[in-house]
Amino acid sequence: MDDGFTDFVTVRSAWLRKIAYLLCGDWHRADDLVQSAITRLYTNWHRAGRADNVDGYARRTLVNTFLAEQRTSWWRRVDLQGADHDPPGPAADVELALDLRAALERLPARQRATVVLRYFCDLPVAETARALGCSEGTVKSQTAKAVETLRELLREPIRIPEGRA
Amino acid sequence: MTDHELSTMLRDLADSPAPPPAIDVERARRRGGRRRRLRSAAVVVGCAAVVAAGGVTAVSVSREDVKPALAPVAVAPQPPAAVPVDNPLVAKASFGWLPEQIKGVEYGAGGHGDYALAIGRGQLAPMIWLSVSDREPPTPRDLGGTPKQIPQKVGNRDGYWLTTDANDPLNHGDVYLRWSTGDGRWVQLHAYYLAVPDLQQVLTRVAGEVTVATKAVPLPLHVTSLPPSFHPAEASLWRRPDTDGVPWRAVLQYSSNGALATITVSLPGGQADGLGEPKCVTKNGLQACVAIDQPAAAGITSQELLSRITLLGPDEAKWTPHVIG
Repeated sequence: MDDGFTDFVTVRSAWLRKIAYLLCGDWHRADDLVQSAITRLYTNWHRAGRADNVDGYARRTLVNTFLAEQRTSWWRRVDLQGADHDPPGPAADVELALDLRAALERLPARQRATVVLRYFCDLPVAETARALGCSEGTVKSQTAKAVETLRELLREPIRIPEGRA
Repeated sequence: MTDHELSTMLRDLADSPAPPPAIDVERARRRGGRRRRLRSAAVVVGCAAVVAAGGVTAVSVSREDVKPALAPVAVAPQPPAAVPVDNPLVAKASFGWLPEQIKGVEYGAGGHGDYALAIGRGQLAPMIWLSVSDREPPTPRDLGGTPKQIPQKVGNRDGYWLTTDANDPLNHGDVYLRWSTGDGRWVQLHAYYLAVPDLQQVLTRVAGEVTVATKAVPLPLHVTSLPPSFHPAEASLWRRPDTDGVPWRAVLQYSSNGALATITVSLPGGQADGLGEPKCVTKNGLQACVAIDQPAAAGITSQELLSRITLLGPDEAKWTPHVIG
C-alpha cells in the first residue's frame, strides 16, 4: 500500500522543505507544513504513488496545505489584510533594503504561491494553474501583480518577458 | 532584475542556513494511517468490521510498531463511549533548572507527540525538547551519517550523547542526550540554537533536574458538559510571543464523528486555531475562540460550546489542572 513512501520522503523532503520555506518564510513553520503535507500524502499514497509525477502530486499537496492553513489557522495573521485580496501598496516608509523574504511575506498567500511555483519550481502557466486549482488567466494576473509588488518592495525594476506573465 | 535573477534570488533564499529539519516520516505514517482507518471506519460500519477490514488496516497497524524519534503519539483510536478526561494536556516529565536563555516552557500532547519544550526568544529561538519513551528510542532519521553513542551519566542513571561526530558529543549544536529511567523508559533532550559557553555542562545539569512523572498542565479554562462524542486529538500550551503576538496560547482539539472542534484561549488579540469559522468571546481578561469544521457532525455549535467555557483569567497561579468536567 505504501511502497516507496518512505524512500520518496527521505529523498525529497529537503526539496519540499525549501518550497515550504519560500511559501511561509519560517523554517519551523516550513517543517510543520511539510509534516502536514506528507501526512496527507501518506493518506493518499495509494493514489499518489501511482501518479505519473509524484513530485508534482507532493508539491500540489504542499501548496494546498499552505493555502488551507493560511485560510484557517493562526498564522493567517501574517496577511490577514491581504489574503486572497490585492495587497495594500507599499507604504511610503518601507525601507529601501527590504530583502526578498520580507518582500515575499508582503504578498497575499496565493500570489506568493504563484511566484514560488513559477520562479522557483519553474512551472509553466498551465501546470501552475493545475497546482493552484485556478485558471491560466488567474495565474498570469497573479504573477503580474506579485512581480509588480516585489519590484516596488525591492525598489528595483524586475523585467518580465512576455511569456512569464 | 530579470525573471532569471528573481529565480536565482529565490534559490539563494531557499539555500540559506536552516535549522535541523524536524520532519518525521514515521509520524506521518502513523497519522496518515489513522486517517485511512477513519475513512475505512466511515465505510465499514462497526469497530469489528474495521478490525477485520484486511489489507489496509493490517498494514497500517503493523507500521505503528515502528517507534518514532520523539515520544509516541498519545492519541490512539478510542471507543465511542470513552469517558472524557479531566485534562487532555498531561506532561510525562517536567523541567527543573533551565539556563537564562530559556524564557518559557511549552507543553504538547497528541498528534504532534507528547513533549515539554523549553524555549527562548527570537527568530532562531533556543529550544530544548523533553520527551519520554516507553523504550529506548531509535536513531532520529534526520541525524544522518553513522550516529555514535558517547556515554554520559545523568544523576546515577546511564545515558549517552547521540552524535554523528565521535569527537563532538554535542553533534555540532544539534544535541541529543538520552538516559534510562531505570524502569524501561527513556528520557531524551534534543536541543538546538542554545548558545551558552559550556553547553555540555548546561545540558547535563538540565537533564539532572528533569522530573519524570505525569502531571496535568494547568490551563486557563474550565469546560463543562463536553459532549460524550468528543475525544481529545491534540492539546498544547504555546509560548511564542514573537510569532503569535500574544505571550501564550492554549489550544485544545477534539474529534467528534469526523468533525474537528478547536478551543483556543489567549489574551485578547490572539488568533484562533483550527478549522471552521471561529466564534470568540472575551471574558475575565481572556479571549476564548471555538472553531468547528462540521458542526452537524460534532452535534454542537461553536456558540454552544463557547457558552460552556469558563475563563480563569491571565494570572497563571489561578489556572487549573482540572479542565474538563
